[in-house]
Amino acid sequence: MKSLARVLSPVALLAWGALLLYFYASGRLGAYLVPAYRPGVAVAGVIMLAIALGQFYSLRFGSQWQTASGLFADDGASDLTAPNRVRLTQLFSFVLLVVPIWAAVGVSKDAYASTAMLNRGIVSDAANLPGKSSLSAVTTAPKPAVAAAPATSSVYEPPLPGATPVPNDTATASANDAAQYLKKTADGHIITEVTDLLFASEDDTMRPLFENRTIEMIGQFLPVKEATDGRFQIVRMFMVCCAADARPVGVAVQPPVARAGVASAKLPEEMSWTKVVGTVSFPMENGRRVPIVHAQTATPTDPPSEAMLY
Amino acid sequence: MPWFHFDPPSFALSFLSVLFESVPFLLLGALISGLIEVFVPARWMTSILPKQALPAVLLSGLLGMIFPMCECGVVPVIRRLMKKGLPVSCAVTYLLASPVVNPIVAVSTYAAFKGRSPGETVFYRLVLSYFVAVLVGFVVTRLRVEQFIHPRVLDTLPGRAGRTRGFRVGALAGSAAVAPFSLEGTAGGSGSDASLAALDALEQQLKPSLLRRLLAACQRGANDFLDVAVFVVIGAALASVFNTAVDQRQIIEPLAANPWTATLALMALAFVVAVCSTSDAFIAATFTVFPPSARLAFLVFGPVFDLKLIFLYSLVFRRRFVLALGVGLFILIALICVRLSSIL
Repeated sequence: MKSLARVLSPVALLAWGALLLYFYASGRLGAYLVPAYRPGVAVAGVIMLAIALGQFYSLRFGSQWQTASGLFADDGASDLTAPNRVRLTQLFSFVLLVVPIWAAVGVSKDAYASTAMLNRGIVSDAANLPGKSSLSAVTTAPKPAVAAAPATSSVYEPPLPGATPVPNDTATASANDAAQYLKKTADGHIITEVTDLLFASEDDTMRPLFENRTIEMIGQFLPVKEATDGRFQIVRMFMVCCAADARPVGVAVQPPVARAGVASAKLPEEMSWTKVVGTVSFPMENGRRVPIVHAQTATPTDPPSEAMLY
Repeated sequence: MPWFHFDPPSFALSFLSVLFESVPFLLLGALISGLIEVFVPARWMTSILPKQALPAVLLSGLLGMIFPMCECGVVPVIRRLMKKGLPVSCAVTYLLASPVVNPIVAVSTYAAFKGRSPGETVFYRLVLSYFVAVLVGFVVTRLRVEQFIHPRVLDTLPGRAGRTRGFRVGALAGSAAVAPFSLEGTAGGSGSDASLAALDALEQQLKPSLLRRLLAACQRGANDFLDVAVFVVIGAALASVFNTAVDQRQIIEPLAANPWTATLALMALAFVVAVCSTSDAFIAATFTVFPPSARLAFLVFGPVFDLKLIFLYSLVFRRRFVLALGVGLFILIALICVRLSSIL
């Protein structure tokens, strides 16, 4: 029983250290933490493994470290690190430390189910989006090109439904200049995140970059049950620090079938990863401007390398 | 849609993410506590603080500006600091103030509220947190430590005999001090002056090498980490149930219109979601339907009392005190923030 008591602490550290390093090395950590916090997980994993190995070494080859450090004889210690004989509370603490985390690893699918997403409320307003300020679609756009637009933005009006954009408008010209710096597919579609469209809807300088242009966007398919025009949403989880604080961010999409007047077409399954190609408009709805993608295609696709947006 | 729907994979995602976020900070705090235990002489701790309770508590509330700690990491640190002679009232003040009254939180709060009165938000958050921590510290100076310190921790505090008020307990008497490298078990670790002097003499004889002291610090840190991690696991699990299974829109958002219900709702939310103080401002900034005073309550209450902290505080304090502390903080912060709603 004495040796069992001494082995609980290093085994628990080993279990935690291995778990942290596994998540870091496998890349699964991307669904759980923002990049800035991930190195800390790896460092913590290495430290825990080192201490665990040191404890195992001292158990196997001698007691010098134990004597020097008061191993399992810490006066402030609680259940797991209390000395020398296994008590029920020690075993309970050990089980509590090890079993839930490894059980969670087995159960987790690294993504939220639709009910968990909906419980948090889907953000469709940039004002409710925490701490996001940059346009992820822009790669190397020089600031003056984008900043040139505000002078004309005050007179910017969205085109009427069905109208074609006026090419010689100053705002459009500035937008065209800036748009050439956006990331594009081989087909010339602007690669966009849902957050870009939300910000563009509230930013007069960004809106012309997307309006009436063809974009490509990847997210999870979520039907809008109360919609009468067949709309669905493309949703991504946006996190500040970790998945626990992540909130779903969604953009409305008009399905291709609804626009073409076709009776029905097969839409992706709920929560499946979907690639939408379509044009963007920013109509006023309920007193505020909202982005709507008029889809040409909505097809199942592989998840992106980073499922979460930061 | 039902207000409660438990989905195990979603729960697991939230649960693990809370652990991944907090464990490095927890380990850092535990390792610092190990270093304190092994390297910091108790006389140093008492020498840097004023001898009077009032200025000592006031200064303790500002220690986070120099030694910033998050609310998870600070618990093992204050446990060690108390053993090293930091008066209990100062430890409690540091415990409650340091997660907020520190430069990291000031910067993150400013960044989160950029464009929405960031300077004002930072000012009110830090000042209110400092005020609350100092107030609790003063209250603690009037209490007998037996009333609120956990018996297991109580036994380790130095200088207890005849000095049972919160400010005195922990502070060492005169020349007796805990040596940098203490050997619990050898002298019982009871902290009496005689035993401390004996420890001093013993350690002078042994003179352990730097490497052995570092190893000892790591070992102490690991022990502290495991002690605390058990409670973080419980707190993270409870917070994740709320995070994923409860329809927060049905419960929280209808309460946003009234200053009282809005404040209480966001404080309750801060309690259950248990977000780290370094990042909670980014969450609070998104509650745009709530008044600024309610968001302030979220920012002040969350770092000092949430689900996981109940379990962490129970490592240091008696359970009855933890509950009283939670209720007291809740009422105090709610009253102040509702009062501030007229000017914010």
